[in-house]
Amino acid sequence: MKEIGLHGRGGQGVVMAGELLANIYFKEGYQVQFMPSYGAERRGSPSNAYVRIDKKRRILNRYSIKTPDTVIVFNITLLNNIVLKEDGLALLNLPLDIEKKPSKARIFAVDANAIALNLNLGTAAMPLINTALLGAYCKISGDFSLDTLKAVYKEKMGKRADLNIQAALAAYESVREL
Amino acid sequence: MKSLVLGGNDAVAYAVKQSYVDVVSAYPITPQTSIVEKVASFIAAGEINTRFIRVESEHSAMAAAIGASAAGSRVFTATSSQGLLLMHEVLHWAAGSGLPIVMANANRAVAPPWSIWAEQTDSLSQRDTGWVQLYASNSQEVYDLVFISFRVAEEIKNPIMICLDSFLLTHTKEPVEVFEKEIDEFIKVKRWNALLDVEKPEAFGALAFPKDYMPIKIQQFERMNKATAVFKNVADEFKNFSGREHSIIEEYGDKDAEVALVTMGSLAETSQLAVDKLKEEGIKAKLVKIKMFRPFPKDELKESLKNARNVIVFDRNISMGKGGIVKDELVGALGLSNCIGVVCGLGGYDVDEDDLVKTTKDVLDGKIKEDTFLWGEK
Repeated sequence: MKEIGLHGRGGQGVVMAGELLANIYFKEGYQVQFMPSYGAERRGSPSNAYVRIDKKRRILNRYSIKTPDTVIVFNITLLNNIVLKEDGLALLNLPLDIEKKPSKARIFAVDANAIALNLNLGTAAMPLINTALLGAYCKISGDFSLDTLKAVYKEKMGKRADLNIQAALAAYESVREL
Repeated sequence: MKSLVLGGNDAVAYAVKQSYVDVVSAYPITPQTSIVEKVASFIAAGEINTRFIRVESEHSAMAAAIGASAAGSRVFTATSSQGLLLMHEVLHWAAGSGLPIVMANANRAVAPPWSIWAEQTDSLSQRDTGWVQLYASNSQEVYDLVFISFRVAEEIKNPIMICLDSFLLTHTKEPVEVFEKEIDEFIKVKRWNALLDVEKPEAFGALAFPKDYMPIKIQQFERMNKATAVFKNVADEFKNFSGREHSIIEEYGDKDAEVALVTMGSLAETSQLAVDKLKEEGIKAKLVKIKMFRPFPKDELKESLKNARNVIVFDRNISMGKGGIVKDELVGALGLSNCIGVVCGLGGYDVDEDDLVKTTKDVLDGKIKEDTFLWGEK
């Protein structure tokens, strides 16, 4: 089983991203469970969502995820509060490279804000970066194909799918390892 | 059938959409709201021919449901926690009048202090209102139980409450097999006629003197007890349409287990992982999941637990001054002397399989000798 944490701020589409990701994995043939974390979330406050996946068994774990194998970080200001497995994989929404301390974790970055704003997704104050981040995640995880991602975007977003697919492709191409 | 990734609330809404419901009356409350929001959106889109009655409180929601049901409608409503508590008086009226209303209750902890997270004390404190109570463990069960409940309720003429744990089930999404049209034959025909008739005016709920009140209550008791047998028949029929089985209690693990873990709701999912881990450690364990809590499945539980040397009940609920409510019911019904009650997970407090395994081993090793809490900083 693999546990994935999505961490951002209210309004960034964290919950939507988690649900999309669960649907993508499911379409790819995985067993999935999407578990949003609800509390006092509002626009701007920390917002978390989690996905569990397994190649074979139906997911039976009905409790929160403490230490994910993978994290997708929408907002770098949250980094101090995010827990990751020692040899985990992290994807950060980040324009410039930051110094990576020596660790077993693999860390990737993509400038999802710039990608979203180029495509007029969201506003400068709150770019909609969730669909771009999943494109980058597709590349670095290798868990599912871009075609599956595109198919789910089309099912869930209707007319807005094309722009979001473009965002995902741009992130897929530009994601880099730190 | 097609598979969709749905939360428990989505699953309820889809099933209501497909159940030819005439009337929905509801008042919003977290974490139930997305059920009736979704149903309302189906109505707004013209996908179903259902009347949505907006009301000013949960008390009114149930009152409207009672009126609509008495007029012969198939009625659904949903609530949670404080909302369910506000309904308390009218729950008795619905059951006492023999109305086949189906309600979903999102099991949320009761204030104070405020909580929106999972706990079953809200519905268990409605234990004596005369409603059949079913507890689902996953989104597929929630979905299936809506169809089964309408059929059972209409056959026995008694309301049914379907309970699903807050967030752990209401908002946690997973694959669910959803019918297209193939369930129509099972659900379309309403087996319920109006009590109210404009040609034949009658009074309902009149004063009953003691000589009348008591036999009426005995009648109600017997009517509700039929739920056990009728559920079995309806579930058998449902299996022909879905391929999925539902029983009033369900087991997982070694049939002749030395230790039985008893629980209800979403904790039954995590408990399966605990049973597997115990097996790896050489401990023969099984899960006994209570799906129907009212009427209480005494005979089924007696049979299931007859060979267990230890019975541990994990209760995500609490009766102040007594302890876990399911444990109390079980011991009361079967007279068990080998049963330990463990109150856990209150207000959504996390319970994982390692917690269940450790507690089970502590009971077997004699470290836990009496009812206790599963609690510790994590």
